[in-house]
Amino acid sequence: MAQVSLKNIKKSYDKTEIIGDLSVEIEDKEFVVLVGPSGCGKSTLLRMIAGLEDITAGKITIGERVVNNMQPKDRNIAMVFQNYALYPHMTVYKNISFGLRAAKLSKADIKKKVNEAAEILELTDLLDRKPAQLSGGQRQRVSMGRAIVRDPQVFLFDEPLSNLDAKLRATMRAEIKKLHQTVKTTIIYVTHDQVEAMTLADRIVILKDGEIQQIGTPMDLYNKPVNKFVASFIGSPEMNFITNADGITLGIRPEDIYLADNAPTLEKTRTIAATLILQEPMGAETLLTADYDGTTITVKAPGTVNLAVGQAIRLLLNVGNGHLFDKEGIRV
Amino acid sequence: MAEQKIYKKAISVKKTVIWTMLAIGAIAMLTPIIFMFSASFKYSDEIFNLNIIPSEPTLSNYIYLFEETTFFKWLINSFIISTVVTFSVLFFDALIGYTLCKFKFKGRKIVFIAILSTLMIPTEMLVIPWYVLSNNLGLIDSYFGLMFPGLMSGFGVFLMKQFFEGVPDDFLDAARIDGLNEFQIFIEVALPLVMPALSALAIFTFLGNWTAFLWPMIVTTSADLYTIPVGLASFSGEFQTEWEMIMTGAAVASLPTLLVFLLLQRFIIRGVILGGLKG
Repeated sequence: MAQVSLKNIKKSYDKTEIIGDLSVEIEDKEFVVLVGPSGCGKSTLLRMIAGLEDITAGKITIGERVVNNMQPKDRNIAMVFQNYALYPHMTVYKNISFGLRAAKLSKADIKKKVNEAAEILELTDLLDRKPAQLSGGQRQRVSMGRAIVRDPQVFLFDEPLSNLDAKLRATMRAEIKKLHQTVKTTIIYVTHDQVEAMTLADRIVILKDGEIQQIGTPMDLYNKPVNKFVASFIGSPEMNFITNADGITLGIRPEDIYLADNAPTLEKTRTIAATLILQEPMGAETLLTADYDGTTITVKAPGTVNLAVGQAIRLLLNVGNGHLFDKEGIRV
Repeated sequence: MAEQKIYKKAISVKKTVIWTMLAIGAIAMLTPIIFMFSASFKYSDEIFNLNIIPSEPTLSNYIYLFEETTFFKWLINSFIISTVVTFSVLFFDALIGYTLCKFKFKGRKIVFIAILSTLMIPTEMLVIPWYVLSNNLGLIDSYFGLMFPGLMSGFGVFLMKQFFEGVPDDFLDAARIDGLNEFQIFIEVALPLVMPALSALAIFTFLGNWTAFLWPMIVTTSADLYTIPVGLASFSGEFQTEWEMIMTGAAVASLPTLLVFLLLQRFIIRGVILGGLKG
């Protein structure tokens, strides 16, 4: 059993507060993604769980044990780093087995574990290579192999895909998801990419300035963002915000806006007149950017649409799927 | 086409200038070495002749050097001292540089500045305090007396610290999670990543000690403890200098330095290529 419990965690360097009073309960075998813009404290939080940073106040529990004062090696965790952190002077085999050798396992046990991990990650043919001879994706798989062989209670991933190109990132995303289903271990995963968060997570924790904005399943966050920050962070392209004279903001996603001429029949709608300022064909769909009384509106239109920039258009908003926020940006 | 010709001509002029300069440099440096080897095969009456090929080549100087003088003992002394000091410098300077670079503690900057400031004091100024110290501790005319001033160097600490700056902390964190203690991390992870710097430092330190003259001359009194440079100087007396012996000794002494360089330089070149982090 490896629940991870963070209670009233605080972290400050000198007098600068990085994380102020944060609490999360992570279930056994759960895949939790910590997401937020850079500087929000998500990596610091992960490093505190790993034991690579001290906590200023609070209590971290992994499984049944309070780990506040434990060394990283005693916490029964494994970590995958953004830049892989593979030892360049060692072969893949040695990299993966390094921790096991430090733990003084027998040679036979080490070999068995490394071979199992190599098989799961399709690294068997690469065991004699040095990191310099591997591609980015292979290096990240080795780095995951190093984590797997430790048989940890919790996997920690620190932005593991940010150094890969878009195509490889999608592949590796699927592999990490598969890995979670194979090893069935608690995973805490840090990213700034909302697509990774949405596709991988059982639950997402959104952070901003060291504070939790919302915790929930990806669809919870998408359908019921508690404030404007969460609403704009989750979903791509970003949600549109239209503010009225009273300061109330209507948030509406690009996929809930239609060109009035070819809109489906919907219950609650509103039509507005706007001017097209940008058209970006993406194949299956076309992104339209329009100006509505000084507010920029993004629309996800079908790929067949072809309009002229500068043209006046009428947009139908599916207000039924809209979100209302008050002056402070809190959901009404 | 004409433009291309002018361009090509400019390149060949540039090349000629570069090659000429290199050739002058090479001649200036190689000439004394060639004369040294040449003189070591000459009899003493031919020693002031500038011919490169001796009229009667002889090995008698080498035979005399090894059979009639304590040169072999000096060679061993030089070898022991240079080797011990080099290993000591590599270990301690790397350890200090690593600590100053990777650990945050109070007074870290002051310690670093204090170590750096030792670089500004010339050896000539230090030999008197060293001598007083050695005298009080009974280190005069001993191996340790010869070695202690060089066992750690401010330059080495500075060099190693700068190189450790280039070692990402993630490597060390990964090793911490892998369960190594801090000393193991230093030895097994950090040191192999700065092999180029270690090699360079090893070459500098070994050669510096191999050719060191002033301190070994001051601290030794018995010929049995001489290092090669001190021993060679003893061939030069008040009334007579045995040039052919100095040349022969210097010729033998220069071989290990060449060997050290040849052995270590490939590490410098190979070690620069690190591949564990993303490119």
